[in-house]
Amino acid sequence: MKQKDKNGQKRILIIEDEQYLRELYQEILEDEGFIIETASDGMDGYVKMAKGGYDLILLDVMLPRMDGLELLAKLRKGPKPKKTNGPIVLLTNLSKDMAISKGKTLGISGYLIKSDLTPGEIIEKVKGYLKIKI
Amino acid sequence: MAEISINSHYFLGKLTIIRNCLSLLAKDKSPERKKLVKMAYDTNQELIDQVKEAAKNV
Repeated sequence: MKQKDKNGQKRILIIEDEQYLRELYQEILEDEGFIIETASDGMDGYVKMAKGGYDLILLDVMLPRMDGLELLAKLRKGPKPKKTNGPIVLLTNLSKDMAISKGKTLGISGYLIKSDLTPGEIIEKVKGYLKIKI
Repeated sequence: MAEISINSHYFLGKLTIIRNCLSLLAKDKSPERKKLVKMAYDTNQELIDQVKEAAKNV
């Protein structure tokens, strides 16, 4: 597992159960120089988020073992992460997903409609959330 | 015409993977391959739009 880089590379956590999508996002974002860690279910994602230290978290809504909203609620109730996390961005497939409004009440910074975005657009959005000039 | 019942989240998830892969393949410089990838991409996009439309009416 990659650790925080001395050169100040941004660390991104991708919590996504769809293996190919997770690997695809990981590959395109690593090509941009980001350090990527992944989780394939909500429980693993929660453990990683609770440790903290991520500059950005991409969190899928529908996940096995604990869905994205449950994860956010659990994180809110639990102790603060050991290291601060950056923005949390919800990943969904539908723009009218009820999870978006619920997610907003649980502290998400935004959402990405996966089915609307090309890999290039994903990179742009990620850089936007990290406030990196494109 | 027969209708099918689908789980929109599951279906969109799979179509999104295809969309992303095709989008990366579209960077290929060969015009012939580019045309084929575009056809597959556009067809996939039509399916995504159909599923989204169907999901709205649920």
